[in-house]
Parts: sequence; structure tokens; C-alpha cells
Amino acid sequence: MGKMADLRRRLLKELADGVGRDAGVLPGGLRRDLVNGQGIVGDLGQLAELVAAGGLGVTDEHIRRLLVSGHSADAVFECVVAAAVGAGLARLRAVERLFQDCPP
Amino acid sequence: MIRLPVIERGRGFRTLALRPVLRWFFGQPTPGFVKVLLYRHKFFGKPVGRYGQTVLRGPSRWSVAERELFAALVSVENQCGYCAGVHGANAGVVLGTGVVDDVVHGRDPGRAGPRVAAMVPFLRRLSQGADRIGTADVVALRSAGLDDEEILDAVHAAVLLEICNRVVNALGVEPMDPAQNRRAARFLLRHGYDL
Repeated sequence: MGKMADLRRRLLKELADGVGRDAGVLPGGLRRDLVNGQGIVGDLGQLAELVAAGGLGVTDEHIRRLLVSGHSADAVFECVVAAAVGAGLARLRAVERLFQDCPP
Repeated sequence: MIRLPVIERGRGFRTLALRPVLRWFFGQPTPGFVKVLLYRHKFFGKPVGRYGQTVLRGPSRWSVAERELFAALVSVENQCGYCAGVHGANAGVVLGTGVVDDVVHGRDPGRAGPRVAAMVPFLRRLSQGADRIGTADVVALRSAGLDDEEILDAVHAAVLLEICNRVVNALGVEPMDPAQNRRAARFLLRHGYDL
């Protein structure tokens, strides 16, 4: 692959690594699990599942309940972003695997 | 209204100071997703903007319009009205809105050329799930004359939107009207995504 492909891959990795590593409310390990497409337990886990499925299942009421039950806006935001990045990354990895399985 | 009120309101001096500037730039209230990008900017907005700039504006054998078309296609697949509107407007500036609509809604994928027509079903299935594609799909794309770097460029455009569509859908960012999308497209075609 060329330089641009490497750059795109690196920038996506930086995004994913940052979401798992940067200062945040949710523990880094939990955010890394979401970025790697692994589920997490609890009501944030349910939110992450909905986000991974496309995000359309998330409702105003769902977010309101999370906030009322004590999750901060930052925690909800981090969960949404980490699950979304995980869904994107899973697709890139799937294509890269196909390239490996099926060399030109 | 964005589901997290702190994003709707804005937080921090930098964000609040930028709002009037952005309103002047866009000629309208700050678009919802821009509010999301400004919230925790270093955590999400900045890195996703850099990735987006490289994927949608960096050197590629796909034109900017074709990559914006892929972005709109994935957004339609994910039922993300906000992103479908903005990226469709971006693509429409060059390709025309009729062509964009025909491609993204599957009426006539060939209207943007045979390379795009070959890529569309692959990206559509990839959007439906990482397990929906197989080696036969890659062989078909290569047979259509696409090399792996071109395929990967298009896939990165899709991946960017797989991420952004989910954030937009989950946070309840509302779609803009066509005139607002056209203004946003003018801004993005001029200034790009790395804000």
C-alpha cells in the first residue's frame, strides 16, 4: 500500500488510541474494550450496543435515564464515541483481512 | 436538540468564543455536528477531523466528489439524515443532486461512472456489517478494474461515516434543511474538515 493508505490507517489508529488512552471519565480499559468491539456490562453497555448497531435505537429517554441514574454527560459521550469508533474500526479490519486472505 | 444539553449549550471559553465566528462562517446557527466536534475537541473533534480531511480531501484516485458520494451513500444506509444531507450536498456540487440521489438510493448506481457503480454495493454491504463481505467481493472489485489502494480509499471514506453516523444518530443531531446543507457544503469544500 502507498503512503496515503499508511497515513489514513495511522490517523484512524490515532483516533482509536486516543479514545482509549486520553484523560476521560470512563476507565481507559473500558473505552479500549469498546474500541475493540467488546461489550461492556451495565446500562452503558446497552448504550454501546445500540451505538454499535447504528445509533438509531438511542432515544431521548434513554439518554435522560442515564444522566438521572448518575452517569455524567462526559461518560455518555465517551461511551458513544468509543462504540462508534469500534464499529468503524471493525469494518476496516474486515476489509484488511480479506486483502490478506485474497492477495492480488 | 442534541440529547446531551452540555453539547447543545457549549462548554469552555474556546467553544463559546468560536460560536459567533462559526455562525458568521456558515451564515446560520452552528450545525449540530460542529457542536459535537467542538465538545471535548481533543478527544474526538480534532482527531476525527484530521482523519476526515485526509480521507475525503487528501490525494486519491477517487475525486473529492466521488468520496463525498460514498460518504452520503453510507449515511443513507445508516439512516443518518444529517450526514446524508451534508455529504450529499458536497457531492452534488460537482455531480449534481440528481446523480447523487440516484446513486445513494440505488436507483441507478451507474450514473456516477462504472468505478463508483462497482464500489457502491460493496460499501452498502460493509455498512450492513463487517461479516457481510467476503473474498468474492474483493475479487469482483478487482475484476472491475479497481486496485487495492482504490478500494481501501473508498473503505476509509465509509469507515469515517460509520463512526460519525453513529455519533450523530446516538446524540440526536437533527438533519439540516437543503439550503443549510448547501451552505455547509460550500464551507467544507473551501475549508475542509480539519477544524
